[in-house]
Formats: sequence, C-alpha cells, structure tokens
Amino acid sequence: MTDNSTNVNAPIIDLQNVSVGYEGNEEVLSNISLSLDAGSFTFITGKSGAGKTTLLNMLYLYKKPTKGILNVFGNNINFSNRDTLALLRQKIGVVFQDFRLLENLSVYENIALPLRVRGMNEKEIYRRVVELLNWVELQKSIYKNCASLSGGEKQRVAIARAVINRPDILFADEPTGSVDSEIAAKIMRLFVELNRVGTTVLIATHNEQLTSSYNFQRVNLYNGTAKLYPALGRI
Amino acid sequence: MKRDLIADRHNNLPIDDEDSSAFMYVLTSIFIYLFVIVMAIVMAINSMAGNWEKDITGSLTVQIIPVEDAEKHIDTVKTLEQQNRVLQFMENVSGVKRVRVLTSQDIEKLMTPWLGNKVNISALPIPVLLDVSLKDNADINYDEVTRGLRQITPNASIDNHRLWLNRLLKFASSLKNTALTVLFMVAVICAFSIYYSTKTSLSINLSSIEILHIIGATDDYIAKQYAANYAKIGFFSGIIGLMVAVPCILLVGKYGISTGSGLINGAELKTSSWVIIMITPLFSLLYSTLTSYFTVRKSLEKMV
Repeated sequence: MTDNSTNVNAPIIDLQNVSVGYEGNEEVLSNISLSLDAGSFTFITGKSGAGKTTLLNMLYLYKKPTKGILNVFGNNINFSNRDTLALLRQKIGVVFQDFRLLENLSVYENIALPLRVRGMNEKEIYRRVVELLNWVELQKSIYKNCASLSGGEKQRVAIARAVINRPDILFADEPTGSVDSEIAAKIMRLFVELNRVGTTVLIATHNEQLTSSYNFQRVNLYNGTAKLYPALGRI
Repeated sequence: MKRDLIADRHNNLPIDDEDSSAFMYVLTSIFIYLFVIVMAIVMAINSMAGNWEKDITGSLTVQIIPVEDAEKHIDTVKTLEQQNRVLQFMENVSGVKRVRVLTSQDIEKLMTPWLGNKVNISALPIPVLLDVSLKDNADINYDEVTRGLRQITPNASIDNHRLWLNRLLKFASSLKNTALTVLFMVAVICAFSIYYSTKTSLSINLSSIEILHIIGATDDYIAKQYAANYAKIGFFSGIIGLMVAVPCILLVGKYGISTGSGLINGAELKTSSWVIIMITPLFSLLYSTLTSYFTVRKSLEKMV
C-alpha cells in the first residue's frame, strides 16, 4: 500500500467514508465518499466554515483522516510512512489562501524550493524558475525578498512555486481571493492550461461567479457532507 | 547574482540568523574549552602514572641505618660490614638482577631537590642505600626478604616502592576518574544545549517547516539543514575553545616543569595527546552535527 508509483487504473483521489476533525472538537467532515479521476478539474465549494480548507489539508496530505480510507495516487494514506508521504507530496502543488511563502527567502528561492527538495541540479532549477518568472511577470522581482512584495505579487509567487515541479495534482485554496479580476482571469487561464496538459486541478472557492464561469465538476460541502455535481456545461 | 542565489541553496530556514546561533557559538566555545582542559588533565595524569610505574617497576631499595658507637658517632667499619652482608644476601635472592650501593654523590643528587644546595649532606646521618634491580616479572616474597634482612641486622629494611606507588596510583586514578566524570558531564550538557536550542529553533520555524513538508521535503532534508548549521557552530566554536585552551595548557605545563619536581615532570603530554587535543574541533563538529540531526529527526516524527 506504500508503493510510490501511481496506479493508473485507480482514481487519483479516492475517499471512502472519510471523516476528519480537530482534536477535542466535532468532526468538520463526516463520512465522505468521493472519487476524482486523473486529469479532472474540480471546484470545491461551500460556505465559509463548510470545511473546504480542511478537505484540501487532507487531500494534500497535511492532515490524516480520523476515520475512513483516503487513497491518493493509489496509496492508502493511513498506512503510508513519512518518506512515502514526502514523495507523494512532491507530485502535488498547493496554492494557499494566505500564500505561505518563506518570507526570509527571495522570490527565486521560494519558487525553487520544490525543485531543491527533489534534488534537481541548480542549472535546471535556474532555467525553470526564470522561465516561470517571465510567465507570471515577476522577472524584475527575482532577487526581491518575499516580505517586500504586494499581495498580488505574493499570490503569483505562490502559484509559480506550486506549478514549478509540474505537479500531477494542483490544489488551490481561494486562489483569486486577493487579486483583481484581470489577474484572477489570468490565474484561471493558467489552471485550465495545466489541466489540459494532464494536471488534476482542485480549486476551493466560495466565489460562485468563478465556478459558474467554467464548465467543471463541483464538490459542494454542506453540513459536513460532500456532494459531487458533474459538469453540465456553461451556465 | 546567479551565484549568490545558488550559494544559499542549502539554507531554506532562517536558522543561522537567529540570536540563538550566536548564543550557541559562545556556549559551545566554553564547552570545548572546558572539554580540552579536562581532557588534557586526564591525559597528563595517565602519562604521569605511566611514568611513575615505568620508573619504579622492577626495582626496590634497601636501606641500612649506620651503626653508631657509644659516643653516637658513625662506626664506619661495622656499617661497611653490615652493608657487605646485606649486599651479598640481596644478590642471592631469587629474582634479583643486580644490586648497587648508592654513592654519596648519588644520594646527594637525590636529596638536593628536597634540602637544597646549601646543606652539607655528608654531615647528615643518611642511611646506606642499596638500589636493587629486579628481573622481568620477578615474584619477590617481600616478607621473606625482610625476615632475612632482619637476621643480618635489625638496621636494614626494605623499601618496596610498590607500596607507596600503589597509593599514588590510586590517588591519580581517583583524580582521573573525577576528570573523566567532568568530561562526560561537559559532553552531556553540551548535547542538552544543542538539543534545546534545536527544539527552540524548530518551534520558531514551525510554519516554514510545515511548508517545506507540504512541498515534499523529507525529514532528512530538513534535518540536514539544521545539521549543516550546527556543523558550522561546532567547528568554529571548537577552534575558538581550542585557541583559548592550548595557551592555558602550555602555561600550566611551564609552571609544572619549573617546580623541578620529578613527580610533576612526568605529567607531560605526548605527541599523540596533542594530536587528540588538536582534532577536538572535528570531534565538536561531528558531535553537534549528529546531535542536532537526530534531535530534528525525532521531533519531526511527531508532525504529520
């Protein structure tokens, strides 16, 4: 169960009767069963406090389910050791609502991090980071410390860091929450582009305008339960 | 600029920017200083005890109180007669290699460090001394030899160096054990300091560590960053501690030699001891690196 390779026949994410909660508190999500195929694009919706971030925390392997079975890349997370989890995380990109950049490091260093932990050589890291910085239009800020960036710039650095290792799954928690509509549209175009080349994308958002603008399936969280709505076409 | 970026590649966490790093440099330097000093003491005691044993093992001394006449003057004829009989007796004892009567010059040389040059030693009632060399692994029955000597003259007695040497060796051994305990304590306290400093740093950098984990960093990757920082602290603190300790050792050694005491002169540090002292920074590097590495590994195991 701790095999590192992805099982192509299994869904890329599979939850069977999964419950999750925080110590001493009630379960935030209870008895969720859900399967997401590789290459899918999914919005996770729900009101504030519905458990979108908790679900994402669990899916990007930061939190283990308290009950049930969670399989990611065909690996049962409850039985995966720490090194296996680290290897699985290397195939995942995450864009946090609060960016979570290492503020002591430069823009370059932050974006290079996922490649460094994979042990990639510096020449290749430099090439990839510069290429991505051009794309997110932050090439002039390459040596800037992240603490000195604006919210929108931080968001773009966070996205660049999440996609630099060409992840199999990309999670984004309210990725357009702190940027203007023009940048939001650009960010969404990037996610769609990544999805076209095979990346499974999950975006947690409470922005109904955003979800209604795209023809993708939707997992709605309500009262601790999850319901999957297939893509029906543009509304 | 590109080179600057690459130079920092192993340091994702702001570990070496913390005040605690500066504190650890000072603390570890002090520990290394103490460690080197105590280690030098242990090695000096070892060397001293070895020298005592080497000098004294395989020999014993027989002393004969000179015979006095009625007017309390030394009767040289009778004294010489006793000396010859004792000499003959000792030469026939099984295990004895050679017996030599110490000349007045030999005795004067022995007494000068204690009495100084100004005292006329020949005027003193110094006993006749016989230096007896023993064969290797000689098993002398000291009680039997003492009885034999008493039969020749009650003025003769045997001075078995082993008896007082054992007392000295016991004393040296207790000193060495105390020093070793101090050495052990210094090493343990140093390990605890590194442990708590690492734990504090982990708490401070918890959110950064979480991010590193989420992007796929293994515990080993994070632990190596701490280990690299503590390797630097261990090595440079080792150098500083050593640079302060070596002059102290040399100074104490110089004063020891100036006492002119044969006992203390034996406490010299051999070349091998100096080599051990000089590689202390490498030991410090290894010790602090491993301590911090395993502290981080153990602490991270508790995280998701």
